[in-house]
Amino acid sequence: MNRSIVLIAAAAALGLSSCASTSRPAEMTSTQASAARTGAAVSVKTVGGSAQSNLGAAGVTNENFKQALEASLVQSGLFRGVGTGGYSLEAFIIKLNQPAMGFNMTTDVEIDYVLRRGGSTVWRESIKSTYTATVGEAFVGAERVRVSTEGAVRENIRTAISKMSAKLR
Amino acid sequence: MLSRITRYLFAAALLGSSVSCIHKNSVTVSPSYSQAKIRSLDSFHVRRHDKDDHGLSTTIAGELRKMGYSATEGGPGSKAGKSDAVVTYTDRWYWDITPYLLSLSIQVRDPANDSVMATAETTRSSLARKSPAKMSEETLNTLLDRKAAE
Repeated sequence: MNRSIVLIAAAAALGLSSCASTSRPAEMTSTQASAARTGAAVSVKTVGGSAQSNLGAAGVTNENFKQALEASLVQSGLFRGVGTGGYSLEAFIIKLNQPAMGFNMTTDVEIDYVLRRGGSTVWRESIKSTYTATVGEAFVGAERVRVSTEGAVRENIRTAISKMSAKLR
Repeated sequence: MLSRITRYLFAAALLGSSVSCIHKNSVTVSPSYSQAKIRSLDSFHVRRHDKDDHGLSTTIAGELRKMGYSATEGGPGSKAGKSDAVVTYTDRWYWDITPYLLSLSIQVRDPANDSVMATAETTRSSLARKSPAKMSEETLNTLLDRKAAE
């Protein structure tokens, strides 16, 4: 029994401290559909991301976040496609609060969005989101942190699309 | 019996080791604002968050005053008044023999629309731990693009 506890603790520690790959664009992409259809293109700029968080867990790179955001925006139907000449969206990852350990792991994310068209700001909002990953979703701790991070970002993008859709309807 | 205690301590040490010796300090400025704009800020309103049990808003406001800025503080949702910027923060505490501040993230916000102009974060794990005042000073120096006091 005691040996089992020690082994579980050691496995948990190793799982957390092992190298974690960065959050994946496909897993951060939202499938939220938009009620509004602008028919215009959108260009996306992302800042504030990093490959690893300060605690060494899987972070969110600007590039992967940009891919997920672009895919979500186009799939939602809100924008015709990715490109210049229409709207521009800036997304600034302000906060990525990940757990250091635990069974159910919750990540909090805050992202500041600014949507512009022709130099004027159409919509601006900071959105907070959270996601809890369970052992059932990922057994290894490092993977569970990544899954919770991806879920929190996906939820954040979903909320952003809902709010932009309401604004542009 | 001793062997059992040793095993538990070993397991606890392993668990703790995942965050045992990290010191990181980073800043990001929003593309909507410039570093020059951040440097030009002179007065701040520190907005306490509703779960702050450590008086960090007072600590941060005190450190700002020590740096020569004007600083006021208020509760959640408080307004900037005549201050150039609102300061918000996120603190994360951990435990290793005693509780310590694992990471501190400080944001400066535009009082006009509450959007984040810049954010800085300091993470210091157990072996690199510092007091909340030192963590605040370090984070503010990075955020406001100042050289640390000697």
